[in-house]
Amino acid sequence: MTTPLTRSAAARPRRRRSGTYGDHPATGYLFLSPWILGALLLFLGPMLASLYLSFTDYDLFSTPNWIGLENYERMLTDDARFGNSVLATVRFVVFGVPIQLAAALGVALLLNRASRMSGVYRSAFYAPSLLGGSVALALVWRSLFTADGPADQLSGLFGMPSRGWVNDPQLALAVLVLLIVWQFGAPMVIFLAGLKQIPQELYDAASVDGANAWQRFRAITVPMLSPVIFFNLVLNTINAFQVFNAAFVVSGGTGGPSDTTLFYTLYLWRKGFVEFNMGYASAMAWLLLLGIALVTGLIFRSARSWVHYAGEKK
Amino acid sequence: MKKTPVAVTALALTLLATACGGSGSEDGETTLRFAIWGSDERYEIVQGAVQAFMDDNPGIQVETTVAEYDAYWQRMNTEMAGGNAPDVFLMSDRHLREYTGRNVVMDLAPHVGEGVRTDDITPEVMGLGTDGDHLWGLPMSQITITMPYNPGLWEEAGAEAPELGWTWDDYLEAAQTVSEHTDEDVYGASDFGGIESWFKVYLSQKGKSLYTEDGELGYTADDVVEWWEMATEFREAGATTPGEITNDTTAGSPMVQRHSASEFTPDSTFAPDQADEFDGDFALAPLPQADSLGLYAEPAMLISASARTSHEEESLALIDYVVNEPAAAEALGMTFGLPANQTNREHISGDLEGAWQQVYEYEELVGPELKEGPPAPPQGASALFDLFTAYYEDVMFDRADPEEQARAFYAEAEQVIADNQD
Repeated sequence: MTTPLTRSAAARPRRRRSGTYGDHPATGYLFLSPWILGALLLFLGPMLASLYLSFTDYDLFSTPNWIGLENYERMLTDDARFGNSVLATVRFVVFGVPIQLAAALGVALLLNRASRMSGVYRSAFYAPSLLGGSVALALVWRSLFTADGPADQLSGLFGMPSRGWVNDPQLALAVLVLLIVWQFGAPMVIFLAGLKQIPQELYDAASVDGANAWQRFRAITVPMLSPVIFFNLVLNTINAFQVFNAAFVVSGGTGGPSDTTLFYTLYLWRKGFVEFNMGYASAMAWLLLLGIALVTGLIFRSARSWVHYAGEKK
Repeated sequence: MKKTPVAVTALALTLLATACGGSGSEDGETTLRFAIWGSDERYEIVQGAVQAFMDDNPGIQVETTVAEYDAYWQRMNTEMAGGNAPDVFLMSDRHLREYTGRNVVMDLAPHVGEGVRTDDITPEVMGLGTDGDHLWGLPMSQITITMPYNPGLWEEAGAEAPELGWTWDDYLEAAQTVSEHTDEDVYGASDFGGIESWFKVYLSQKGKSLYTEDGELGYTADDVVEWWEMATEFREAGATTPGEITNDTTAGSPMVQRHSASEFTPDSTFAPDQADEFDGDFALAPLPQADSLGLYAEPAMLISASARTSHEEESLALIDYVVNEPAAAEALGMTFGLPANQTNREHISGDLEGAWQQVYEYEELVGPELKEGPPAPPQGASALFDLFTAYYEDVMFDRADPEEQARAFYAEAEQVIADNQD
């Protein structure tokens, strides 16, 4: 009984060097297989397929024909609704994300004050985000802002009669912006964690020097929190570009009124599954990827001038 | 012990594989999937016919699914593309070529006379499904477009009642009068500009059509300009509903929501008790006309089978039953319009009541003037139907000039048709 033990003890260093499953790499891959299969079949495969299809006239039923860059060309030069969809999406991101982050930061600052009930508040404010971009939530949102709904009654009280925000081209996008702002829970929790990291001494020292609350916020909180702001900004911008459910439900899949809620992803879906133009839809998907990469790249580039990491010399 | 993970993973994979395998057939029963669009009420009515079919055909189960029109096609497109189409389904004119062009609809022609009967169906409505030697579906019914209106409101306002032969100018005047004499948010008419189906009637009134026989556009940009300028004239005169009301269809059309005293609709869209919704103030009138009445006699839709069904015989039996059996006709009544089968049409005509009786009378009134429906529109027609509405929205919200917008629409329409031709 002792011999095998010593032998295995002697063998251990060698085995560790080549990995736990060094002797049996197949076993390791077998364990990984569900993920690998998933990644290959459900992710990488379809992605490459869609890249190929974006250069074809694929219509879901017949064999795709290679048409080169035609889809991309048409999109950029000869598709008015594509322009509408880019405009709607950019507006949504430009208004939605900053307001959402501001709301998240504001609430995080309030919750950061020690309070007996802070745990309860934190959960309460996070709750909407658990519902996330669900269809049920979008339905509720739609009924809130529909004709003669609560929003109409409220604006009527203030002498601003409206007939369903979702039916008004001026207000329909605002409904969706409000919906994303309302889901500020996730960035809020991250902000809260970031706020807890800021050393109290900094605030104390600033107070001693006579800085008021606004000065402390500007000079301490914002710079110290900037990596977290950066993180939230990147994440939420990427997410906002891809919002689909909300716009689909609120406009009933049309992107109306007047294409003001025709988000990029909604138009992409319409092209693919309503107009049977899957090649065009694939091209749109790849252009969206490039667009998001570009915007993210710009945010990263701008980060050099406003994001400060602790211990970094500036 | 080392072998355990392998065994577990293998087991898990097997389970996964079986889960995807789906269920096999059991106890010799065939289950057909039958998809319809419409309201829950229509679903109940169709269930009556389906139940009669199942009673007469033991061994065949029919699972009927229902969805609203838009959702129905979203789902159908996805299911067709995934090779998972229902066995039997309703087919609209503007989707027909999208599907037949992609070989997913069963050709009924080889089965006519054996399995599928067509000899008693009125010839006017056979045109849509007929395509050379092919027959892509049986007509569910015969319909035309009508104008339901609220005679109470019209009389109160002192507007002249619509009658066969009245014109668009008459309509403008009447609707304007109704708007002036009703509550602030009630209009004489629903804005009709954004619905291609009414534009189709208007074109027909002027001797044109949406599409030519070869699937080209049958109208010019000027026709759209004319139509949208007329609609804008109505709207600006206060005769038709403003954009926010027209756009709000969550709780029904403007007329159903009592924001409008008249609108256009296919005459197959009423429940027998429709008039109750308006406290009896409900009548049907012909559309106002330009050079002629221009209304078509068309099937509301076809009933078709999937080319990939594994239950061909049963699917054909269901199609034939729904269209030709008196038992089905009794259950369906006028829910899809006048029965396409002439014997059935007479068979049910004695028992109609409420709005269905009104539809019957309306069809009798305009019947002699109806034109035979146009051939099936080309591929791209369903997309154009949506685009027509989308482009008009900018007009109805006063965000674009009707003429510019009409020309922009027309340019895109030509593009869509051209794309679908190769």
